[in-house]
Amino acid sequence: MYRYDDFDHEFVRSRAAQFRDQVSRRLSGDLTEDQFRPLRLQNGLYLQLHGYMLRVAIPYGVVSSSQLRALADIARRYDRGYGHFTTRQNIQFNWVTLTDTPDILDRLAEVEMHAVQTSGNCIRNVTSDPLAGVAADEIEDPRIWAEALRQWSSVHPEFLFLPRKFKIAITGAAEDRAAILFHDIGLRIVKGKGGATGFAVYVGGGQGRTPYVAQLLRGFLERRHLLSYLEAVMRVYNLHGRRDNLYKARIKILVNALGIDEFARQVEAEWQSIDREALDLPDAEVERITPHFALPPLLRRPATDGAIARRRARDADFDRFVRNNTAPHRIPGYRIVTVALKTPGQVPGDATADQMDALADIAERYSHAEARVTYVQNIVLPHVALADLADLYDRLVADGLASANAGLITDIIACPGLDYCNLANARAIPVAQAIARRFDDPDRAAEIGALRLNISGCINACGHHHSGNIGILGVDKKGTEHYQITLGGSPGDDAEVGTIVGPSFAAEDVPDAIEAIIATYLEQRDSAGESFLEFYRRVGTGPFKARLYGSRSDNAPTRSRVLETTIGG
Amino acid sequence: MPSNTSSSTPSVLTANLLRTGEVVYLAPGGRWVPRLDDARLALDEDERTAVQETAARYVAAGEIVAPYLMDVRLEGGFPKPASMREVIRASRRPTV
Ligand code: SF4
Repeated sequence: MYRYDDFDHEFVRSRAAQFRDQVSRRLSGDLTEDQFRPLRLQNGLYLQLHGYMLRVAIPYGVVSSSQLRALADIARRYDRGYGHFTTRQNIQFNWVTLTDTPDILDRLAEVEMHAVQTSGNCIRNVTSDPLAGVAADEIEDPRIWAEALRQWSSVHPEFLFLPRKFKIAITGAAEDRAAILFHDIGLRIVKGKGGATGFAVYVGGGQGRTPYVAQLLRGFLERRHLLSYLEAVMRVYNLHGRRDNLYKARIKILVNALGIDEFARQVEAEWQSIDREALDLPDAEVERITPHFALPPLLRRPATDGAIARRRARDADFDRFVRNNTAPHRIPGYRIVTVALKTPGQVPGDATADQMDALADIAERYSHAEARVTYVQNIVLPHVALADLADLYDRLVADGLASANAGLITDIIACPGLDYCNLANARAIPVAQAIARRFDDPDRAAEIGALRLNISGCINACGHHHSGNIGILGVDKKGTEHYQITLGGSPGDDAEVGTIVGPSFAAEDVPDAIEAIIATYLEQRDSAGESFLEFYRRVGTGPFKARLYGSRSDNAPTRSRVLETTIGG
Repeated sequence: MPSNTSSSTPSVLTANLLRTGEVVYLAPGGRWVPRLDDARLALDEDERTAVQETAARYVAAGEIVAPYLMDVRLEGGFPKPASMREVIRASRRPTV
């Protein structure tokens, strides 16, 4: 993985020192809260429902064993013993104090981490395919370019005060596992004429109050021009993005107001006029970065393993784990393992300090000291020898980390919601827990098959409810927590925003509602081979509505009615 | 100062301590206390104005941040949070 050079080290250390000075000026009264707030936000420190929350960047989700140990150490020493992995491949600590934060930033700097640009109207942590560099379906490793983008966007003087926050995601694989079409800019590595690789550039995707799937801005961009081209996109946005209305400030609003053709024309004009040579990444720099992402030395191993096959045959739990939580590695004889932080009943994405330490040890022992954070709030161990799978699994069982439900109905994304978040309308975590417990039976989950269920505690959609096959949005209905259900969202290549199925449900009725939706699907699907999403696309909301609302007179809600509920909340 | 109150309901002034972020309530005598039970009640407009002025002084002194008035209901004379948000905040932990 990427290792800091002297510049990176110096930058991160000096930012931590600068923040220490800012905190002491705040405490001595030299800075007012109004002066200090933007400074603390620039360092990822929010004031949330219960107190300060620190969001630490995990660049494109790649984390080492020593970094995991530092995160565990921080959780233990400065927090209540746990952290929360987020849908942006970051980690949040919920209980830190202002006075401890400078020490935490120093601790992070020791392991090449920081909290810079995890808040504010700047380019946030670039996210990527958690299987980058190892996926069997990969065209080219996106991390090289994710790292180039990290360097380019870090304290880029022109783009620190954008109209609104800005999120970039990049994938190099055939299958999109980074939800790139729900980002301000989505990048996909593609092959052009003659086999050279470049980028398909998508723009204007996002969730939140006004969800959009990104549109294709340019079908093929030569690799070497990535930075100058994105510079042009950012300049058009920075100049014309609205700053007068918080709700209309994201690039998606600009793209849709101008139309993709006009937006593309303006980007092209800007791009033609700028000095590409000066902005593009020199080949030498690409060559410097690339070796950081070379595969670790993986010994050649047999592509099959008799002992593992025998264990699968006699141990149904292990077999389920291998089936659901592992994927083919580029190198035969290795598997990519997902550690789902989703044991039914747990808080999605939470890991205790002990679990982080355990993950660090496990990654060191079985995965060349490397792990990845996924946007669905799980952890990936990228390089596990097939022959080690049983040992690894036994170790995960011992540490309470062997939940074999990756990609199934209980692998729920949930934002912190009203349990932690200052902006929330309703809780998300207990709803996720109740649903996960309801569908706890692994055979039933297997029968339901691939399903993405996502929950957000408010319209900001950090829990990606819009892109859930089943999405749940917490709303405030006259002071009580209610939940609106959407169907048919998809985060992948066939990205789509879900459709609201009907009036909202009280919290206690949500598991039954999900049960009714699942029963409708299981009873009416063509065959076990028809996924929930395929079924929904064939039949629409009709059968679900009939099941959920029967002859209720209010079973045909309108969008405006729904918006009233959320905006009023 | 933001206010989450309606005029006919009793209210309490809440904030976070600057240094720790901890949720606190303004108590009689200008103390900041962690328990809502111990908070000072503001029962009319004059009292609401008074607690807001007190809070503003503590903001200026760098002791608290993000003060606001919240609605409460009274149970046996003690203030209880009127919203789920304030129930969770007052409990100083998530519900899960
Ligand atoms: S979706 Fe809303 S409630 Fe959930 S974390 Fe985001 S802002 Fe908070």
